[in-house]
Amino acid sequence: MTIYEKNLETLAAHYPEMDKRIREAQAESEVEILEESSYSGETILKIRKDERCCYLNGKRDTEELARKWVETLGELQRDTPVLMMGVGNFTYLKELAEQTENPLTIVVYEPSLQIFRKFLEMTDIQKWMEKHLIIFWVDGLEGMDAKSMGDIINQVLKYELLDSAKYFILPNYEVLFPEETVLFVKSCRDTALKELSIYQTNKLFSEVMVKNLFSNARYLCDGYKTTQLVEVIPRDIPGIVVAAGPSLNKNIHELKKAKGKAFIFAVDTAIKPLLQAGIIPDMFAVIDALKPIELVQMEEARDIPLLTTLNAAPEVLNYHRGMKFFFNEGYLFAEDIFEKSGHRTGDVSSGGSVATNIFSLFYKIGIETVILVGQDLAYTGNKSYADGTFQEKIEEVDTSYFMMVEGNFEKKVPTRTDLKLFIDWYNMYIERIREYDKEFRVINATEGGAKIQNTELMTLEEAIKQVCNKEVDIRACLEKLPPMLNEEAREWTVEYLKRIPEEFQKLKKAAGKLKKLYQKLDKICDKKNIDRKEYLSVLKKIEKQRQIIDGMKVYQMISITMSNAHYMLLAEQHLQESSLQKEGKEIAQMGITYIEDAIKCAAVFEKYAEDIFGDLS
Amino acid sequence: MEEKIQELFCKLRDIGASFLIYQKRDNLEQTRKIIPEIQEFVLWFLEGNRFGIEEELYQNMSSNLLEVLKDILEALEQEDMVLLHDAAANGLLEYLQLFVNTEQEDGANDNI
Repeated sequence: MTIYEKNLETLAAHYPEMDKRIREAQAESEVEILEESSYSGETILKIRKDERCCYLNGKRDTEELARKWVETLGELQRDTPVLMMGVGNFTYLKELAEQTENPLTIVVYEPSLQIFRKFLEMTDIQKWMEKHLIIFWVDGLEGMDAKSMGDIINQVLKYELLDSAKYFILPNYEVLFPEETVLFVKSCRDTALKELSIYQTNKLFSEVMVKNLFSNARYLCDGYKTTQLVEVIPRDIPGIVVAAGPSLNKNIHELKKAKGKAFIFAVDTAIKPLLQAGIIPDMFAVIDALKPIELVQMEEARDIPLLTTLNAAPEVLNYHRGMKFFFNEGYLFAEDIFEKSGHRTGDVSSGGSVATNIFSLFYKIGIETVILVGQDLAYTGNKSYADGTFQEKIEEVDTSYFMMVEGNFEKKVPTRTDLKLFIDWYNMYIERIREYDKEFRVINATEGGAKIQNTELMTLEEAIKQVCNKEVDIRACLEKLPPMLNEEAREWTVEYLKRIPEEFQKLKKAAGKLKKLYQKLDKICDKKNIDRKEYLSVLKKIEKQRQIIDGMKVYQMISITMSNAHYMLLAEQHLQESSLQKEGKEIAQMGITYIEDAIKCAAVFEKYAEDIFGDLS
Repeated sequence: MEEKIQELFCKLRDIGASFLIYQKRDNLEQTRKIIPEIQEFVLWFLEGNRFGIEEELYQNMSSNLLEVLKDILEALEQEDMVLLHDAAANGLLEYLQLFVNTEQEDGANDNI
């Protein structure tokens, strides 16, 4: 059996059918592989592509580059993600796999199927695959392309591992495969940014989150579910997302012409300028946990149906009197209530902003044409928002140090990192929708701002003329809907929420048991000679008790609130100390500290729940 | 000439170390700047056997040095950073090292 055949077997053992995919894939001959011998007789590769010819190994020392690279990485902890591009010089993967003691998670992206096949001919990968988790992502193999590489990087690059993660592009790959290199770097950067952003958002909102969740959970009793909208909203009318970017001032008055001919859905920040212009949107959305109530504090806003979340600013929900629509957000305690409603499960892909939530909701309820208004995603005219939102007149800011992106009308427009993430989200989301639904149409009528791919640019006036041709009374449609919970389900929900303080009591008890186990582990590690059997038995019990706690629905709120500590604890799972004693001590002390804080946290939440749900009826 | 060789040695060593250790991918650009110095050294070496070594060894060394120079020029033309590093760090640098005062080198500023 050749090395190539053996490697295919190895790959198939780890990834079913990968051998078949490699065999069946048609390689486009975009590269010419030239084999040469090094001065010491090893086979080395030289790649010819687009009139350029480059070596992947040195002739005089074939392994020097790889050896030094692995040396400079230092000691890598268990599960460290290593993201590398290129296997044409296999000595990199060889050195990494063989010289690293701890098992790693290695993602290898190879932009050329021909080079990948050559790699499989040259070296036996079986031992490396047994030692590490190695994921090969090869352009040209079925289901794999550079564009969807982000999905796999997403699964590997977690926040707690960002500090230790390693990225590497084999020398000359950036010269031979410049476009693919950009995509690889972009996928890594975007994932890291996203993880960082989720973490920072959690950290920022974690303190207020649980209070918001409990406070807003009361509104589930008489609330509505977004999946109910499908029953009453016609699909053949356009949906208009009204965001609050600076360009909104240019065409806000045009929206009057769309009233009654489209589903006008505004973000919270656009409410004031809209109402001041005499336009009452059909719905608006409040998602943010810290949204200042002043942004929506107008009498007319109180009865406009609202799309919201359990984590949104409760002051806004308290102020609002009309229909409130919720969706599945993954909060375990609320999922039981949604299930009781009997309505379909349905989330809204967040994308990170209120406008992206609305956009996603439109798609999910079957709207075929979406018009974007005020969705600048950039500092058009050096302004952050439309006038009349946070201030009557928004001041210009110095954008000379901002990142620049392609504009709708200008060549480049200034934007911020978070807005860039939303642009990326739109690009990705629309592209994916259009893979399945070619008819889905997005008209960007922002009349300024950053370019979103796969959208048609036109003025709002033109867009309304073209697609808002059918009469529709959205308010009347919505009023046909009953609340998501019937009488019986409502009664059950009230009782369920009232029992939440008891759930925290149970959690405290379970956490107390876990603390004792950590203390026992700590004691075992104080001894000079550790009883290995006892040590492993306690670790097993700790794991079991942690699973019990993880399974308790109210624990999710503790882990979100203590996100910092939670991430530290996750990072600890990948830590390996020099001795069993040191490792055990570290685990015990970290565990005790975490669990003591969790017990304190549970006590605080128990009190919140008593105060908020105590008089629920 | 000794001083020039010393200087060239330090420059090439630093370019190689940046590429190898710090993964700086600018060895093509940096080497282009010192091509006249590299050429000067090669011509000086090829001028004649004034080093007191056997003629056959000198001839072999000369043809190997020409090979190194050829690789460097090919690498610059193809923008091949791997070949350039290999030819410079594992080829040319070894020649330069023969003429470098290691004591002086040890005391040199290692500001990579």
